[in-house]
Amino acid sequence: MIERLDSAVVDELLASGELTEAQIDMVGQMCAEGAKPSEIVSAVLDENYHASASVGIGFSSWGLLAGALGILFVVLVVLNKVTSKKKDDNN
Amino acid sequence: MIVVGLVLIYLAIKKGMEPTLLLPMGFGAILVNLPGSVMLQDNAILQWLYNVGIESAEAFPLLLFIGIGAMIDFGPLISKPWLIFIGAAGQGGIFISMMIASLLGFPLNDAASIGIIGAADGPTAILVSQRLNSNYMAAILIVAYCYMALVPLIQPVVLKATTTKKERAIQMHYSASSVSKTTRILFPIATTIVCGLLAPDSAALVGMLMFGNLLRECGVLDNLSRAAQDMLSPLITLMLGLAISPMMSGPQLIQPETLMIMAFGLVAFIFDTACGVVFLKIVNIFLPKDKKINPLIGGAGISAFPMSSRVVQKVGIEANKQNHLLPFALGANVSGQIASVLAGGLLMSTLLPHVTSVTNAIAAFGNVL
Repeated sequence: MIERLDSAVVDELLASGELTEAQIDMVGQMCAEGAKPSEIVSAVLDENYHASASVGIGFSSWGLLAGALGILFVVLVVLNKVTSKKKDDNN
Repeated sequence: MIVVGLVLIYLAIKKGMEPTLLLPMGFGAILVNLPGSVMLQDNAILQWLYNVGIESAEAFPLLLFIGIGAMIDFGPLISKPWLIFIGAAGQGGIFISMMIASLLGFPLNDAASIGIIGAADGPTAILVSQRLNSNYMAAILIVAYCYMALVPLIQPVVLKATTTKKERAIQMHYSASSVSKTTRILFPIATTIVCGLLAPDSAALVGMLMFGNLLRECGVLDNLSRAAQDMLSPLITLMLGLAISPMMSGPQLIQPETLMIMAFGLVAFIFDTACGVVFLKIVNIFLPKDKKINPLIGGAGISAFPMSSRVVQKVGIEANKQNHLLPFALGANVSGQIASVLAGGLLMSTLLPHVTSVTNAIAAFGNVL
């Protein structure tokens, strides 16, 4: 299937680093069979990620979330300090 | 599916469950499933609403966030910034149910979309499942909204199961500190910048939520703020309900996976509540005896605002009539709102590059096949 695509298009798809030639071919075959886009996405993700990858993604995302909210916590503390200081100065 | 539509209408009218969404969804389900229905044709109104409001730019869920932002008072969180960590803990259910769904065989895009039911946040659930091209978007949305309506039934059970009566009776003293207008105005701007930089895929959701809040707090657009709360929000929810109905044609919803999604949704809600409570129990280990925090407050770290706070207040009062947990619970609740949106953005950041590459490949093949 991949040979039906223009080589520049294939290069562009490969350049993203997310798909292999075999996977692009698989996408083409599923398109030809009339599969829905969501089914194709699921099939490729299934091939790219082992089910256990979800554990890594889950915990790392949770950690990132805690980190992001930690930064927001610092921002809130600074905001409170700055504005309360201004209030004191005005008084 | 017509029966499912009737059940949704029954739940909306008789049980009062999320009527602004379930009523149009139920009616739309009947419309699209009538024999010979033309509602799924390209130029039909319901399909058009879906194409414009959800598929092309996710306009409805994003616009809905303006209304939600205008309704929320972030004051309790701004005055007690530590409550923001409860929001992080309270999203545990999202990641745990995602892992379980994936380990039980759901592809990662579907597993992440199923997990996001635990955000207790309909618009985020729509956005994530739409962007990740989930196969179960309609089921995820129905389950998400139904469980949101069931928060007053689910959460008390989990809260009581994860705490002792002594813990529930811990009294909290709230010292009301006023939040200046400048802080209230700067908060949505700063949050948008921080979240946009840390999780660019959450920028649209956080941005709309915070824009709605800025309308509320800026003091010069009170009419628009009231319009966003009282008119924009219910109107967009109604449109959203109708726009979802093209996805509710029989074969898409009546499948065994729908039952599994219902089970995962429940798991997500239970873990969300439990993770928040357990987090505060761990924090309490390190706090002196007179500074202990009532762990019930952890249960409010989800996005269901303000239902979850009310549940915490009610369960707290049952254990100790002098207990007034509401101000703390409200702070935890609004931090859950921000955290759930961020969690959705972070999951999208991880998986979207793959999904986008595949959809680009599909588009390329679409041109030649």
